[in-house]
Amino acid sequence: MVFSSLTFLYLFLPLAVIPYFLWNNRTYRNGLLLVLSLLFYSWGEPKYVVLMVAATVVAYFGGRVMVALEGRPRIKRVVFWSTVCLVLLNLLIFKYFTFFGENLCLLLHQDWAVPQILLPIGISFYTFQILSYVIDLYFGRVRLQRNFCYLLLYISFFPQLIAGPIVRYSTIEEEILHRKETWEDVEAGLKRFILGLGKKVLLANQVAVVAESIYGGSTEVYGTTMYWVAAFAYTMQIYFDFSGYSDMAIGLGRMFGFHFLENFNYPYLSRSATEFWRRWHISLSSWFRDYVYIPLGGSRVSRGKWVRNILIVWGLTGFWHGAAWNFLLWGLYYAGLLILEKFLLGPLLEKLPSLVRWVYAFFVVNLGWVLFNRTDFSDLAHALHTMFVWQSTDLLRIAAGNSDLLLGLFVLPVAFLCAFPIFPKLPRPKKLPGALAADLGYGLVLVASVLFIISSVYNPFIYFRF
Amino acid sequence: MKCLQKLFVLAVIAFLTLGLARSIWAPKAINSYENRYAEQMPAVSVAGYLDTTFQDGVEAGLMDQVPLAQTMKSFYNRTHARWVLSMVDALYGEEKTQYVAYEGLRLFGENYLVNWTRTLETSQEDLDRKIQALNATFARHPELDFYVYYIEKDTDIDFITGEKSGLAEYLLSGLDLPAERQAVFTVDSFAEFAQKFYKTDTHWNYAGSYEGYCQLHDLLGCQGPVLQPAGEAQLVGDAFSGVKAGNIGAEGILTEPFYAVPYDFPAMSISINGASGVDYGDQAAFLQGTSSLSLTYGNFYGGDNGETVFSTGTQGRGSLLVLGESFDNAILKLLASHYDTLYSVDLRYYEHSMGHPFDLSAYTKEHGISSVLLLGNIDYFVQDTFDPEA
Repeated sequence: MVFSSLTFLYLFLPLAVIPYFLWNNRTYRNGLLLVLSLLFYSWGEPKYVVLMVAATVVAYFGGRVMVALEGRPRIKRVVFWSTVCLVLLNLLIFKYFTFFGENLCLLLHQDWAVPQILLPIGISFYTFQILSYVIDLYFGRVRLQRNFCYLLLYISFFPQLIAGPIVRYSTIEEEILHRKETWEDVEAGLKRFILGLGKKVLLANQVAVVAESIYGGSTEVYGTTMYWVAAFAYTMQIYFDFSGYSDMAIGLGRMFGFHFLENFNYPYLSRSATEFWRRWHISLSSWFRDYVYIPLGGSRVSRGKWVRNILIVWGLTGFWHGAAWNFLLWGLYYAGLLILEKFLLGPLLEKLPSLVRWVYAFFVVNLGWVLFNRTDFSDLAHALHTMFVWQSTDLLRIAAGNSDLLLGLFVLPVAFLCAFPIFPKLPRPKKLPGALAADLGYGLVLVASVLFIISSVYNPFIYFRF
Repeated sequence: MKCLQKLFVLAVIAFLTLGLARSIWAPKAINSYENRYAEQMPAVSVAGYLDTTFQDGVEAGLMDQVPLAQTMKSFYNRTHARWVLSMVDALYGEEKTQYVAYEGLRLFGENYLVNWTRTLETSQEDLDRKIQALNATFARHPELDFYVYYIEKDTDIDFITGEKSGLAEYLLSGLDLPAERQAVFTVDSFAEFAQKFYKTDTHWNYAGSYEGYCQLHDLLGCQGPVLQPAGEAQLVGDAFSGVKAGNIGAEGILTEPFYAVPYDFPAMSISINGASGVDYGDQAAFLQGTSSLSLTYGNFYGGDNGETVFSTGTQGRGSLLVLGESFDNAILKLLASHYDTLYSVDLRYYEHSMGHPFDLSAYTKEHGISSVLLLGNIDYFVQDTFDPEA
């Protein structure tokens, strides 16, 4: 189920909110959230709920055994690694088996029938959440969750289940049992949800038409200008798509009294690739930092090992996004940029005016999204070639073939403006008329989003494939 | 301010809950905007949940049932159409000399909505299948005189190059039918198309349909002279939006004047799907300005029915069976005036309306029919639904 569907808005949300707030019992409320979360996940693919529950069972018993083995570090370590491997095996089989199988066939010139395994939604997200629990428990950073249902609630909690943010167990450990729901939280959460919905439906879906049309169109028609427009449109699309989803997740969590950490901080304000990754998908980059980069030694090692660590982390980050070589390339592209900025460009960039640094960062990020978007290497080569070797574009001819493109082009500048912190700088209304006007604005965004959902069939979530 | 917080939350939840309640307990039967039955919320079933048909049904049901869904869709489509069309006009001018794609159709000339041109390459397989099926029918029924009338439209010609698809020639050359039993309603240029077809509707207009009728009069060797219009073309409505405009959500945005000519039809009794004492279309009332129906091609000339029978009460002029589609609506009454009885069967709706499948042998024997006219545009000649003996 996606948040930007009528099923979620008109069926799931009222059925979650009304009984939840009618019951004034923590156990019942948690029970309701768990049942609804499992229903939410199983809505699109009922059978895969078993897989998620099985992975949680592994983490639950692994955790219990680890705690029981306190004082016997060797066996505890074996149990820890076994649990981690089992959880990762689930991800490897369902996300990467087909990819590696097919590549092995190509490499060995074999014609094996590689099973085509359908990717369970959200598997990358919930696997990382489970791992964070197991690792933090092993290192004593969190307490054992003795109630399986509560652990399952943490893993399957519907707001963040299928597209993040990756919530650490430590973030909501206390809130599972001791949270306090307030009207302020419900209101702020609901508004955050509406804002995210608007980002997704009113901006991401509209600019998506531009990128889709150009990348999906005839390669002879679209020239250099349009390929840059496509890169820019996709840059906007993926931001509003993913940050919109994160806003909805954070907002929904807050409505039920959970406070997730922020996942985006205006990433397109960045003035370097390094800064971009401090602002983009924060829950993923901090996960890799804490669970891979730092355990490998981080930056407190020799220069060679530092480079190795960066390459490992960014190679994994790339592959986490998808089982395709272009994602690895995309990850390594950032590894290269980060290494370059750390050793060479950093001091130089510091001396440049802010605007020039911003242009540099925006340029490399746009280019990065081209690598990310084009999963086929011949398409990628064509896109890059067209972007950097001038080819003219007959805009009139293009628009004649797809007049909807015009609408998308019109929305692009609006989306660009909204990618920057304009609204948070507006003063928060303190008097009734201003507050009423603000509420009306949120109401309008909700109604407009519903209008677009009802009227438009184009409504995919990019981040679902991860 | 705290009160306002609560009010906001309650208003949003009430808005959404109301939508759910309405969808479950007071669903609409008809989606009037899209002119079809409205999807209903499905019954809960484990099997349906496991194969996800239940989930699909819920989303489809809500799409049709939430309050103001159709109003919102209409508003969106009209706004979208207005916006895109104004941009298209600004870019290409009001008289377009190149095709501008729009929602599955194209704009050309003074905002004529035209279909994509078909090619022989893409239609050949379907045409071959149809040729084979029709030839088999012709061979099985030597007792019947078959006539084929192919109507060219915007699908058959590229208005920019003037190049024609050759679909009609290919079809007719493959049929085991003498040349005098075949004819084509030709469209050889955009100017000709603009003269004979609506801007916003799929069908031929009063001029095109009358020309078609005259050709059919000759092809069929109808008795009596061609029925002449009883007057000049009259403006029936100045803001007609045809099915093409409706299909792309531009109903009321793309409009055109609707002209028609009056005819003095001979008296005839008409039955539709077995119900007698009715009229086919509402031409006279529309022309007098007294019709209560909205102005559509179907309301004016008559709609698509499983079976429509026109009896003039004469004897000795024979009967004709027309196996056609909506293009024949505009000429059925004209053709009927030359026969004792004219039977019109639309194979898309016959079984549903009459309760049994269409049987050509039994039907023609029962009604003493010896002439059968197959009439339609390219869609008719590539779709299996229109096979007389599918």
